[in-house]
Amino acid sequence: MTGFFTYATKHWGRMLELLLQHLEIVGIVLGISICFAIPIGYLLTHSKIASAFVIGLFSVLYAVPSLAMFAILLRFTGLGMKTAVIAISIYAQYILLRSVTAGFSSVESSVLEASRGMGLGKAEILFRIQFPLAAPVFLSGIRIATIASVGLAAIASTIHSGGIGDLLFEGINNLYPVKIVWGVILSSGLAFALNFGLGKAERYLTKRAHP
Amino acid sequence: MAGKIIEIRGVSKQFKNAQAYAVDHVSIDVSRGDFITIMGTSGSGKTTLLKMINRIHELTDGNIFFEGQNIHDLKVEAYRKKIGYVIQQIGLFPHMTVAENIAVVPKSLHWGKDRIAARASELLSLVHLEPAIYKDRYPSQLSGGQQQRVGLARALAADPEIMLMDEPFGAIDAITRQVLQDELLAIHRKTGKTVLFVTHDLHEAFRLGDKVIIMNEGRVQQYDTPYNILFHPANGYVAKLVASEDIIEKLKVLRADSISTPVQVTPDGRVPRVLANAPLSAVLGKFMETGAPQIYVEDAQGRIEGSILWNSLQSIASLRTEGAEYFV
Repeated sequence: MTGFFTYATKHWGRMLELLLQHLEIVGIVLGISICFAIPIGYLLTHSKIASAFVIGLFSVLYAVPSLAMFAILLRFTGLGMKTAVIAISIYAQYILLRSVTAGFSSVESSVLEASRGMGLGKAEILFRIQFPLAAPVFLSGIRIATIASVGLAAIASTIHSGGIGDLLFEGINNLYPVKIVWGVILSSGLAFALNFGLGKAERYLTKRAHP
Repeated sequence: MAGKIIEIRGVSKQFKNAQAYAVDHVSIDVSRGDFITIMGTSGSGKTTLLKMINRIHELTDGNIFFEGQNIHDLKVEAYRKKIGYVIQQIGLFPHMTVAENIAVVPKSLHWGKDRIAARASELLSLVHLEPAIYKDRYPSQLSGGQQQRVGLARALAADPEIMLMDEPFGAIDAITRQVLQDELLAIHRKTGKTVLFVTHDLHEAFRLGDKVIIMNEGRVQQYDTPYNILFHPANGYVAKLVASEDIIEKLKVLRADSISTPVQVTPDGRVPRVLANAPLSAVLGKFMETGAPQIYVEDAQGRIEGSILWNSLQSIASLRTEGAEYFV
């Protein structure tokens, strides 16, 4: 037990660094995936066929195990954070695309017809009507994608992307339980914290959309 | 200002993957200030026709002119802002308060804050919702009837030239519907807006419309006053449609002002009065109650619009619907 705390007092600097690295990966992944998912999801609402095709494609990619995905991408982008970000973004994209399309279709067609009929332009309808109403569904997708990314980013340590995974794998490889336990605490603590914060935001937006 | 506000010229609509035309070579003129109901069964093309006017559906063939301009040449958003649009499902924005819902189009037209607030209050009063109580409520806190009142106020927000209403009271209980119908008539009298009102309910069509368009299979069967449709049906379809109406039913759907004639002499204070939009059945009741030979028709402000003589009411009862020859 003393070893557990001594490890933290001795290595807190590195632990913090790994935690921040982890957050960095998750942050970049989400930034990229959201930027893609919202416009793509919006376009997909205009065509059922395109929507089924694109989401079908991502669902196939989503089924590829993460280690296999890393291995495939290694050939093209090499070791490091870049490969990790690309792979995790593909998984996140599937979750986000589904929630973005679900969010847009959660807006009642009568509301859209009324807004069209009263002469609002496409951009006005998007920003004044569709976004605020679909936001809670978007955010629930973002929350799930975030948690998935935290988990995947830990595995991405195997391709030298850094993050809390380093701690976990060192612990496993050197049979050093203290490192494993800290790795578990940090990674799940991060997931819990993000889940909690985004859950709050989701409830807030739900209240705004459906008071 | 009289004159034609909408001219529909040889308009057809064929939906993708559909054999038949939903609307089949329809030509109609709508005069400014008219209250016109479009009546038909489902699939008759009545809603499609209405939705081509504000370009929710684009037409396959023909032309529609709004104030003399081909609507195809108008910028669609700017054009739609001149049209109030009310639908059965209402489609209020659930994330906005009542006042915010009403403010959507004025905001989009960059009206000032004070003007928007004043307009919202004015319209809420017009649809009989106390502004102080209702303006900050959300749609989910309103009953169906109240929601449609807001829908109506929202459609009137930017003072449109014309109102398109697609079965607006279709999902509302019978008692509230009648109240809303009366209020809509009062609003129409007050604002003078041109109204095109789609309904599948014959009684509603006759009760509200100065003129009624009867549609079937995408074609206009008759475009006429309720009186003429009831007593001079243009063809077999219309004759069958109104045949089930016995004299009492006919009196129920015709409005007092449909048979009233202008009063020539100074109005006599002792003559009983009915409202212009009261059904003729109520006029009959009044005759029987009072035994008077004549009844005045007045508007909501108590101004006398005309009078009905007992003889003219009685002559309706003896009228036989033409078109009996259609039934073999």
